[in-house]
This record gives sequence, C-alpha cells and structure tokens, in this order.
Amino acid sequence: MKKVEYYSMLLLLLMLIGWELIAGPMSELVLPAPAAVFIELWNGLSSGYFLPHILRTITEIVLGLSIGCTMGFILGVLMGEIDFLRKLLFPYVIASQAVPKLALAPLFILWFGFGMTSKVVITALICFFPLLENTLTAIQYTDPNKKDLFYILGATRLQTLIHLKIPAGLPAILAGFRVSVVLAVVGAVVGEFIGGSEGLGALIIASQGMMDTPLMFAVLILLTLMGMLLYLGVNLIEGLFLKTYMKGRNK
Amino acid sequence: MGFLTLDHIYYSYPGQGSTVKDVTWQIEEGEFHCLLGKSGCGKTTLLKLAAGLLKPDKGKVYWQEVEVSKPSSQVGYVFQSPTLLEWKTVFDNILLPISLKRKPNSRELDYGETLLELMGIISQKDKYPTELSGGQQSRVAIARSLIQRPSMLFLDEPFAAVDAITREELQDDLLKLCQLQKTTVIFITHDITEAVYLSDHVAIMSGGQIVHDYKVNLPQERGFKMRYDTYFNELCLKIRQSFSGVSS
Repeated sequence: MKKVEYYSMLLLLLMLIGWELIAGPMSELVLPAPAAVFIELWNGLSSGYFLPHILRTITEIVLGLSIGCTMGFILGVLMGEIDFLRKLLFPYVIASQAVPKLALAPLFILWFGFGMTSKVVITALICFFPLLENTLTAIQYTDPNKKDLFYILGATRLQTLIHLKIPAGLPAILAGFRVSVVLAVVGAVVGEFIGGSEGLGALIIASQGMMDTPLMFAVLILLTLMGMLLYLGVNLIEGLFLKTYMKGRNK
Repeated sequence: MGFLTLDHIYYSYPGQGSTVKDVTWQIEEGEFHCLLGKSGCGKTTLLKLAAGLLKPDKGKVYWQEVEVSKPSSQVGYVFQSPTLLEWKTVFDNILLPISLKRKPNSRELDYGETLLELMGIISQKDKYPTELSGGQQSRVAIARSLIQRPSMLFLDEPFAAVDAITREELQDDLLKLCQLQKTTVIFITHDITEAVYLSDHVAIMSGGQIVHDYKVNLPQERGFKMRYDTYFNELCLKIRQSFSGVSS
C-alpha cells in the first residue's frame, strides 16, 4: 500500500472516531453511533433483509444507465456528425435538461405506475445528458489535422467516425459515462422515494416513518458503496474492453 | 505543363483577405522543392491547395495534367504535428493508409518493416506514440506517408519540434527515402539551411505570393560537410538577404 493510501485509511479512522465521539452524548434518533449503524448493517445483510432492496435498486440503475447512456451516445454521435440535426435538436435537449428532472418524478409515477418502469425512466433521463454532451463535444472537436489526414487517405465518413472520432473521443466519452454512473444512483433512489415499496430509496423512507435512524444510516452506507462499486466497474470495463484504445494514452 | 502545376491560384478564408494571391508554380517529377517564408505568409494554405485539401477560389491545380479536386491516393502528407493515433502501435500507425482500405498483405507488411528500418525505429515497432520522443514520432509520420509509395509528398514543417542534431538526422533519412522512391516533394520550413540542404529549388513566399525561386546546384548525394561549403553558405546568405527585402 502506498503512503497516500495509508493516510486515506487513517483519515477514515479519524472520521469514524470523531463520529463516535460526537454521537456518544446524542440521542440515537438524531445521530446514531457508528457501532450501532454497523450492527444494523450486518444484521440486515446477514439476515437477507437488504437483499431484495439491493437487487431492485441495482436492476433499476443498470437498466436506466444502459438505456440513458445508449440513447445519449447515439444521439451525441448523430448530432456531432450532422450539423442540421445538432442545430435542430440542441435547443430541445437543453430545454429537457433545464427542467428539474427530479420534479418530473411524480409525473412519471403517474404515467408509468409505481413499478420499476417509472424509476428506470427517471434514471435513464438523468444519465442521458452527460453522455450526450460529452460524446457531442468529443465528436465535434476531433483534431482537424487528423481529420485532414483521414480525408487525404480517402477514408469515408463512417470510417473516419469509427477509426478516428470515436476512439479519439473515448476519454471524454468515458468521463461522461462516469458522471452518468454516479447520477444513476440518484435517479433510482429519488424514484423510489416518491413511489414504491421496494428498493433502497423506499427503505430510507420506511426507516424515516419508523424513526429508525440507524437503519437509515445503514442504507446510506449501502448506497455509497454501490455508487463507488459502479464507478470502479466503469474503470474495470475500461481496462477489459477498451484496453486497446486506452493503452497508449495511459502511458 | 509540369508534374504539379499551380495556375494563377487565389484563396481566402471566410471573413479574411486573400491568403494566397495569384500563385503560379510548376514542379517537375522527382524534384524536391522547399517553401520558405515568415509565419502567416500563406505557406500551409498553399501546400493544402496543392495537395487538394483546399479548393482554390480562383485558378486551378493540375497534377499530371489532370485538374485536382480532392486529394489523390498517390499523395502523402505530413503535418506540422505528427498526427499519430495514440491508441495504435507504431506499426499499426504506419499501416493505417492501407488498413483503412483492406487488410495489409505480406508484401506491405514487409515494406512497413523496411521503412521502419530505414528510419531507424524498427525497435519501436510495437510501442505506442506516447512512448516515443518527438523525433521518433516525426519518423513514424514520414514512414506512414511513404507506405503507399506516393509519387508526390507534401511536408508541412515536420521537423519543427525536434532538436538540431535529430533534425539533421531526419533530413538525411528523408532524402534517402525520397531518392529511393523518386518521390516529388514540397517541403515547408522556416529554416534556410534546412531548405538549401534538402532541396533542388527554394521558393520564398511573402504576402500570399511566391516572390523568389532559387535553384540549388548541389550534388545529389548530400552530406554533413556540405553544410560548411562556400556555395552552400553563399546561397543561404543570398536567400536571407532576399528576406530583408520582403515583408510577410
């Protein structure tokens, strides 16, 4: 382990000690001590109580992320390549993002019901924009000399897109994907806040109703870990599938 | 009509005055021409017009008596920056002009290796461009431009970012390869000695026009000592003096 990683662990330990000291004299209803939270977390995990909620939230995140990112990527590429389409659609894309999407959640519950669909739609809508914006920028701002090179080499528009613009834009596109991954957790949880009986968001609302603050903290820890694991998952995907494209750049 | 002929061409970028004004230039087959000029005098624009990357507003460009409307597959182009694809290895970068069309055959793969050997970078074959020095990257860019054995090569200050010693080595390597393939070359540079050492003709550009065209009477076989030759230095001085009389 490197020196900075030791310090990072030490910082976590200090924060936990600080939390324990502050929480000691306070009511568990306001701020439960870490020990109480971890006991709740362990009990929930070992008894399998958290499992269906975790699976539900993960399913919503993965589906919403896949749909939102796929749509964002395809539309980003099309808008980056076709000037007319960019000028035509960009004001509407901005308008769709200017509306606070979380405020739309009740409407989606009304349209798609209390089931999984409404949460997946909210998540997809939140994940859509970062990927669209980053893909569009990456495609538009490809090095003009490299575009000239492909023109001289007689490459078709599709070849230039596949062999130059997309690979050259991968770092920016992946940065957009990372933002989407983190936002996907927000989308799914907010959807569950508003309507639903299953999922970690719904569990937070339930713990609030039961005034079970340690449970609420335990779920928050689970959500944080989930977000971090998803982020690490992106790095893993990058390492496994995009190795060839990222290799030279990481050196 | 020459191998490449620029016939009274004009070009201006939108919202700007003429970048290239009434240029008529004739290049014969197998000749090495250098284009010298101060920054902003229109050298790169003229090179792009000659290569078919830009279309002149007025006038015509002919290549082997056929009007140029787009870049030909018989043309190689080296940009100011090496423009290598960072996600491809050196060898894959060199083979790019072929692999965009089809899978390279064994003869092309062998030729790619020969070019790497001639450029002295065979040991870097499987490395990525980010692992190479500036000079090595320039070598890869030149090798890539030669993989299809083009009859015409355009180079836009390809050695601008490398040190003086590496630059001299690169000049010798380029000359060797071009003489081997009998390639016709237009080479842009800011360096008078580089222009005289490399070329058969040195054209001076100023204010979007070619104002002088000097013939270089040096033996075909260039060598290190030639740079300290009286004729070489007198010609450099003459070219330098002609710059004093023109403004960009």
